[in-house]
This record gives sequence, structure tokens and C-alpha cells, in this order.
Amino acid sequence: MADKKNRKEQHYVAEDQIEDLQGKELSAEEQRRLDEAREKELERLEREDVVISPARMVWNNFKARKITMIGAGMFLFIILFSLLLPVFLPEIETDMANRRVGPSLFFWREGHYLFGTDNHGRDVFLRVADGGFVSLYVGAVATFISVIIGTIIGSVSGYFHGIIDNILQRFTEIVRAFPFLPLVITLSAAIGADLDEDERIFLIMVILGVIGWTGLARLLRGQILSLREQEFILAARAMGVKNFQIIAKHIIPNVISLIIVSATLQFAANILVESGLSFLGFGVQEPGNSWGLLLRQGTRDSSVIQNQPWLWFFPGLFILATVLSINFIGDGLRDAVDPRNVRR
Amino acid sequence: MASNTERNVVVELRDLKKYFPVKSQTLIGGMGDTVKANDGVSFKIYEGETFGLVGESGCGKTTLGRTIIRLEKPTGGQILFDGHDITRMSNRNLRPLRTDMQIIFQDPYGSLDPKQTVGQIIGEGLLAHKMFKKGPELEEYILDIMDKCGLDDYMIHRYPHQFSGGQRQRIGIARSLALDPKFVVCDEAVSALDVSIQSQILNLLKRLKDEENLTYLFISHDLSVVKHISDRIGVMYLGEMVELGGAEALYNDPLHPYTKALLSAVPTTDVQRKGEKIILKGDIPSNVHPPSGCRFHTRCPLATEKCRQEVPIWEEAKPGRFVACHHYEQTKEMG
Repeated sequence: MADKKNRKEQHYVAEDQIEDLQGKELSAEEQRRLDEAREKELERLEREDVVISPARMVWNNFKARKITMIGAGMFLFIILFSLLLPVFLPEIETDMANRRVGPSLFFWREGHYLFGTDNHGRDVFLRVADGGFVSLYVGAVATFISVIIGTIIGSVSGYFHGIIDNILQRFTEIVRAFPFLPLVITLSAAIGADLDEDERIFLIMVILGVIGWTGLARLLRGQILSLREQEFILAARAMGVKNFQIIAKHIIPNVISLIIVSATLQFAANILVESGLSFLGFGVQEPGNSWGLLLRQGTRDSSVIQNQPWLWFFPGLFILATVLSINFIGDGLRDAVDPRNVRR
Repeated sequence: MASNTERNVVVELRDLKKYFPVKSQTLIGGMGDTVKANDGVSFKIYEGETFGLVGESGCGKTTLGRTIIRLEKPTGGQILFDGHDITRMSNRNLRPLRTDMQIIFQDPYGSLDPKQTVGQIIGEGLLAHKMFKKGPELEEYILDIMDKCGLDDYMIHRYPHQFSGGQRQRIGIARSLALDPKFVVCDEAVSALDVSIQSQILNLLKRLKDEENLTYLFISHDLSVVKHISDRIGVMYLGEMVELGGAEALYNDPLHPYTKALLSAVPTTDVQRKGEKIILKGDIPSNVHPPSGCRFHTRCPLATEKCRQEVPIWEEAKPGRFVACHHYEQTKEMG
């Protein structure tokens, strides 16, 4: 720190010297001093040539918020817990001798389980770790699909406006007006019965993705409508840059932060919807596994809810923690990309 | 001015019109109301000159500048650029010509992409026209241009937000010069800068014009700036050109009452200056429904019944001096 301050002072001295000496009749001695000061100043500029890219600025802003970093930490933990941990854990087995055992902190002892066991004697800890994968996977792929569709439709609609915009906007409105739950329930009931577990999960992801892009498309369209009137876009057009290049090089980089923020929040929402569907019995079903399904099994009837609270508490806790942490990250990102909070 | 006939014409406008629709077009297919941003503008810009364009806000200067280089599609009339009729040319055919016509914008903040480095900004056009491939040669060329525009080498990898307004404007100038254009539209290029920086940028533009053999269309509402840099000046009012002439002649002896009023409003520190400010009454009228006859008659101190009814013709009042006014002989006694 001290070194930095020292440098700064040095540079002021150099700058002052240049200012003092510039434009005057100079003696040889003064000329030498001026040259020296100029050299120093140039050296400083080179030394301080730290390029702060816009991405770097966002990261600095992001880091600065405590709640965001807590969210990021929580999310990292959940990722490790549900993607990495299951690799090292034993297979889930039914164990009729140890059914409906309550949770215990001494889980390494025989007959003790950290999260307890269910009606078939399966370890709830293992099931929660295993079920997280499906929940996150469905959420991520559905988000990916909707981000791709939303970005393409939103940018084309905003950039080309006029009749193309009009058609795409009407199309967006139609998709938006789809009654989501009835559609999923009907589809799930109609073709779901003939599908195996993987196909079923795939169906849910596709439906979620194909329906969820409308918000992003509208958001992007609005942003791009104002962006395309900016003078740097006009300048690119005046230079004869092709439309496709303008979208790829100017429009997308300027809305990418928006896309990321929106995707993050959508990810959280998709995890919730998947849980909700599985909870209602229209999503993942046995022998599959997901947090929503575990929640369903934990709330089968009032006696289970009352007497085996660990069956619904732990999956519920994980859904809550996941959605909460993703939302923290999303909010943090949104603030970080807002150019009004410049922190270098 | 007689030598004008021998000089090459870079840009020629013939009765150029640019209307913007205010409401969507009617169902039957006719046009709804339109804003007449440019309504019949004709003039020539000769090679190597700086053509100044002045007028108050909303008179269509910027639209004219953008239409000339076909950032906007003209509604009517004709634009000849370097002998090519570009009025209805498709973007594909226009692309090769784009290297010859460039624009410098007013806002040094909005005109640079915040996500690109200075090098990327300046090199973009070169890459788009495949004049260079990415590599040391391109960087060399960019550094060369930056040097000409007074930018230091170390700035090439920095982002626009790290620069001041004056430096950003230099970057914008470097970008348009990278393509080695013939004709540059300077759209209020110095208006957003403070006065000391203005003169630096103006001198830079002047120097570059001589070095690179450029032709400028210099658009500004600042009369002293325009006088400083221009060879000839056109005065616009409500989408039409009302007067055109050599810079000195136009300043010393304005023919159109509007020009005279504009000039009298230039602030001065000269206490000896004769004449008072001519205060124009009222606001600039709507350019959706412009006044009949001479468009200036609603605010003109010399207006008569004739002005209300007859559109004045665009005539050469003196050699090299064009004006559209019924009573330009009386302008001298005005005020």
C-alpha cells in the first residue's frame, strides 16, 4: 500500500514538472529535467496499464456483496453435495430391519442415519443427495432451452423491428397465454404412461424450456430496441458491418449480463416448478428420484407428516436452500451488472 | 467561387426529402401524418471543402447528415455520391461505398461500444471490409491511426469508460478515419465537449483534413464553431435550406432574415459591435404541418402577404450566394 501511495506522489511530481516546464524557453538543464519527467510519466502510464475490462468490473461488484457470496457458497455446497458426493456414496438399498428410523447425529454407528430412513428402510440422506441431481439437471436443461429460444427470438425481434417484430411478438403472446399446469398435467397423463423414467424427465425439461422463454424474449426485445438506436450501432452500420455481425459483436455482448441474470432466476424458478410437478405426481415418479418426489412421499398422509417429519423436512430444506442461494446469486448479479454501481 | 465549376463534386443532393411517419400508415395504404425532417434540400459539396450546416434544434440537420450517407432511407429526391446514385441502392451494393463515407457522432459516450477495447473499435470496419486480417499488421495500422488522432499507444487495449470525453471523441474520429474515407459527416462532433477541448478537436479535424485530403459536412448549432472551420455554410430552417454561401460572405452580409437573426444572437465580448439582437417571436413551428408559403413567415419581421402564400424560390442572389426569400434585398435594413 505504502509503495502505491509513494508512486502516486511521484507521479504528481512528474506531472507538475511537465506542466511547469512546458511551453517555456528552456535552458539545457531545464530541457533535461523536462525529458526526465516525461520519461517518468510514460513509465508510470505503462506500469499502471491495468486494463479493467467490463467483465472484471462486474466481478468486483459481485464480490463486494456479502449476501451474494453467501449465496454462491451455499450453491457451491449444494452442487458438491448432489453432483459429486453420490459418486462416493454406497448404493441405496431397502433394509426392512431399519424402517422409519429417525435422524441421528451419530450416523457412523450401525442403525443410525443422519437424515433417518423411509418406509422401506432406505437412507434418506442418500436419497436426498441422489435426488438433487435430477432436480438440478431438469432445472438447468430447461433453463438452457428457454435461454436459447428467448435470446434468438428476443434479439431478432428487437433488432429487425417492424413486421418481423410484430409477428414474433404475437407468437410470444400466444405462448405466454398457454395454461401451463393443465398442459403439463394433460401431457403427462396422456403420453406419460407409455414413457420410461428418462423419457419422462426429458419431456418435463422440454415442456419447461419451450414454454419458459417468453419473459426473457420480451426483456431482451425492449433492451435491444433502445440499444439499436445507440450511436455505436449506427457507427457500425455506417462502416458497412453486416447485420449478423452487429448482433453478434455489439448487441449480444451488451445484453449478455441481462441474459445471465435472467437465466439464473429462471433456473431457480424451474427447480421449483419441477418440484411442484413431482409433488403433484405429474413429474418424476418411482423408481426415479428427485426432491419433489421425496417431498411427495414425505407428505403422503397426515400420520406420515406428523410422525416422520424427517421425510419431508430434509428434501424441503434442500429445495429452499437451493432456490434461495440461486436467487441471492441472481440478485447479486443484477446489481453487479448495473452500471450505476461502479466499483473498480 | 467561380472555380467551383471545375472542382469535383463529392456529394450532390437534388430535392432530397426525408419524412418520418408519426402515426402508422392508414389501412387503405396512404401515408398518415409525417414529420417533414428534410423537405426538398438541394446542394453540392465539393471535394476538399468543409461544408458547414447550421440551424436550430429540430430543423433536420442531423437527419440530413444521416440520410446523405444512407443511414436513413430518403423519402424522395436524389443523392449522388461520387457520381453514384445511392438514393435507392441496396445495402449490399452500398457496402463497398461505405468505406468512402464516414460519420463522427456528437455523443462521445454513446458512440463507442462499452464492451469493446479501443483497438477493437477502430479495427472493426477494417475487418468487416477484409482490408486486414487479425494480426500484427492490423495492430500496426491501428496504432498509426491512433497516433494521427493524438492517442497514445498504451490506450489500444483499454475500454472506453477509462477515457475522458475529449479522448473518446478522438477514438470516434480514429474509427471513422481508419477506413480512409473521402467524405466525413461531423454531426455536432464538438458540441458535447467543453470549450478548451473543442478547440483541440477542431484543430485535429482541420489537420486531418489537410493530411488525408478529406471533405467534411460539418453540422453544428454553434455558429462560431462553424465559421471557424467551414469554407461554405448552409443555413437550415424547418427542414429546408434557406441560405447558402461562402463562410465569410454569409457572416458579413446575411441575405436571409433568419440567418441575420441567428448571427445577431451569437454571444460576443465585443462592446463596440453595432446592432442589437433580433429577437424572433414564437417557437419553431411544427414540421408535421409546416406553415404555408415561406416557412419562416410566422416569425419573420419582414413577412408580408406574399410570404404567406407563395413559396420563395431558391435562387442565386449573388455569385455563389443562394437564398430562398422574397425580400432578401431588405434584410440589410432589418433590426
